[in-house]
Amino acid sequence: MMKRTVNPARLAEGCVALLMGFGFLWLGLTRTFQHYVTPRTLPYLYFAAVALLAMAGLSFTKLFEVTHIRRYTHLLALLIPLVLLAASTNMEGLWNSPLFPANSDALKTATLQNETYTMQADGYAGRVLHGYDESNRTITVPESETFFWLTEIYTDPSPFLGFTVTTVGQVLKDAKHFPEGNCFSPVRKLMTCCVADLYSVGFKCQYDQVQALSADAWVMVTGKLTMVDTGGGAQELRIVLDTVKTCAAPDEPYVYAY
Amino acid sequence: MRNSRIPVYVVCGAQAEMRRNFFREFCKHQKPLWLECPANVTDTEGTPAWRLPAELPPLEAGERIAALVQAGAYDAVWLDWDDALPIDRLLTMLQTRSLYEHCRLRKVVRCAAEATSDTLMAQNVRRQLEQCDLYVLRDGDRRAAAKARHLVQPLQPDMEAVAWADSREVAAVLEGRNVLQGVRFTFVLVAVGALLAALSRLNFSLSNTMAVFLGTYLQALPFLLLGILLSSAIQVFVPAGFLQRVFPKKLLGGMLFGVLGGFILPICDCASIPVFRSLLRKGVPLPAAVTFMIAAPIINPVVMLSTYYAFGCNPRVMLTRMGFGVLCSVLVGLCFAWNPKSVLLNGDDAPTCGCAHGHAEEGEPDATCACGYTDEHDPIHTHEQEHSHKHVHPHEHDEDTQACGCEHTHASVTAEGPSLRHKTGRNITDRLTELLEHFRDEFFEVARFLLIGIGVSTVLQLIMGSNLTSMRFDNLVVAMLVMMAMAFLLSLCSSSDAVVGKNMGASLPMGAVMSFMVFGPMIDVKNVILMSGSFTKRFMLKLMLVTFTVSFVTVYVAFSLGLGALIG
Repeated sequence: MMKRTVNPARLAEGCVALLMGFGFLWLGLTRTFQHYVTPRTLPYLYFAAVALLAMAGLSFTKLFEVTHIRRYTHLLALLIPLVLLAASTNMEGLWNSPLFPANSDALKTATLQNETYTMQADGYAGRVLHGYDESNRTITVPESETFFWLTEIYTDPSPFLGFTVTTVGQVLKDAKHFPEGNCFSPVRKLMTCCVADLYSVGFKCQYDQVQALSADAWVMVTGKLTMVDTGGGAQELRIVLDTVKTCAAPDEPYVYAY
Repeated sequence: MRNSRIPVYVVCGAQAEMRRNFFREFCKHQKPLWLECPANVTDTEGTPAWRLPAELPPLEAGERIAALVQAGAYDAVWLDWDDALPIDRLLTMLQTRSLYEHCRLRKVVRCAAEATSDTLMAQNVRRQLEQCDLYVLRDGDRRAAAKARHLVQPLQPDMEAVAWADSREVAAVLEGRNVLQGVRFTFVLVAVGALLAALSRLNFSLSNTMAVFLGTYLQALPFLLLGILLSSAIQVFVPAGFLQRVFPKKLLGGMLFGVLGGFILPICDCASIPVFRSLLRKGVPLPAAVTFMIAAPIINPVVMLSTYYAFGCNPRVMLTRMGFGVLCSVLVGLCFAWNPKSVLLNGDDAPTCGCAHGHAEEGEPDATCACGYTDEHDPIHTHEQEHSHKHVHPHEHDEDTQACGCEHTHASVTAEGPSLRHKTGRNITDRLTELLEHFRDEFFEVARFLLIGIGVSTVLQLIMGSNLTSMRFDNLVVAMLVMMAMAFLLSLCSSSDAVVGKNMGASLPMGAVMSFMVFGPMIDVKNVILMSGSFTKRFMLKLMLVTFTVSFVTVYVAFSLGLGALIG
């Protein structure tokens, strides 16, 4: 009669792969992955989850495999990212993220869905943007379309001059970027590939009480798009603000260029 | 009961005399039981008790050993294990309940006259080495032992390789416990912790550091898995010789085929390396495989689309990048056309037919099979055919698994002997299991290098940080060199490096941005570390130098001649 013993190396391997596979699934289902990579990575994350779960399945089918050498060091290739993922999501307070969260864009109301604008800028021509109200001459920039509205308006500002623009962002007011003293920008972080490649994008806003704003605070600003003389005959596009309200940080941490 | 189990030492190797000599010299036990398990001894009345016939089923053999152990007051069992017998049979034998209760396997030793990649190629030897604690080199000094360690450690990283003459060291390994793995495991964890602590002391936010690392990891891992899956599918499902048949024989034709493959497969640089390795193992010529590896991350549809959008839907930039990708990959491939030497560690890219035997020359009948037997091969054996040579198998196959360690299944046993078709005749479940096993092995083989690569590029990105976007260089050569260095160090994914390149090079000449987008996907820190686990240093160095030179020269010449004005 043969002695059946559990192979601890296979058991450990199966458990680590299983945890990582479920980790990837959790990242996708809670949209937590958007804190690290762009939404277009989602199908690949699900693929990785399936592959890791299959690997775990293979390990469990070989649970009673007899080996003399039992290796564990290679598991660090999964264990280290797993521990870092747990620590990072814990630090970011993402542990309690709900599964299948609703897409909550503070500025993407039902009304905005009907107020559309078709982009003209090279490369994006034909893309439909929301929040455009021609009769009232207002643009309410939905969070997910921040990059595209910026591209459209800065490519050719003339059709939008005098429009009242409402947008949300984090206050960036350092002297390096805004030496004027009365300007700042409500910026969103644009993710092009992953969290390693973040760029701040936002409208340049003119506001007399910039000093009263806290750096990095989330604000919803409203003002008129204006070409402002900057001296020497030069002009610059700015939103001359009427109101600045502090607001909650949006659910979606970043904006994307597609 | 378990604590009082006596130790079992297994001595493997091709030469019986050498195994016996090892026992005589290194066994220090008071009353050891020496058991020989030769492959060619049958169970007859005259067979002495200390000789276990190969034909005995593992269970019966195990019970026979247990009876011997119980009969005498032995303090150790030394098993002499012939190379022709699969090591799995031994491990199964030791699981016999009565034997398991009295003995525990302590060390597996392999004795060899010398260690060359050729002698380690055979599948049964590889499988045996995976289970070995110690590799003892009879004809060699410490230097030779170090070389042997380098050869065997890819198969079993915790294995020690020691020269026979170093008897104290051999004895120390035999008596000692293997703590190497625990030390390595702890060291890696401590190193990661120390690195994070050091970064946080240098004013890098810990959460930001982890986020950057995880961002790159989550971006790269799925593509690596995809590449490994493709690579494993090639290994398991593509018949031996098929790719050699399909790939054009002419140099240029082969390379253009490589370019076409790169265009069709939507894979980035992380994924192209495992596929490249797989192509080499399947006998695809080096220049064509190199062309594929270099071209795929630049000219695939995903990269083309991301470049198109990054540059405001300017098709000229996209087409220029693609053109450079094709041109550079063909030129780099050409540089590997002359004197193509083995580029994979352990000579894995030696022309194989899938059964891992050495080949004197393609089509020659005197191939040595993985099972270690050189005779009785079907004289007709070319790589143009499905591999199906016949050979007589004097060694035994496990009753349950029918495994003999030679990586073949057993379709039928004929009057002439077992007719064996290597890697053929298996059902889809077997193939899928093999695919998964291959996938798992390859993943763990390369994943650590991906992790190291990402770690290095994370630290570099944190250190360079915001300085990247404020670079200003008017001189094209300087700007190109800086951007190529950035591309190498940052290790960005080719599917999205265009946006980064454009933003970083906002105040740089277009030629510099183009060099960033052309060179980066071909070679970067992450790729180099990823390749280091499988390829020779000579090949990697040549690849880096050639790729750098080719991409620099082609981009510089084109932009010096005014290409920038045409695409801007």
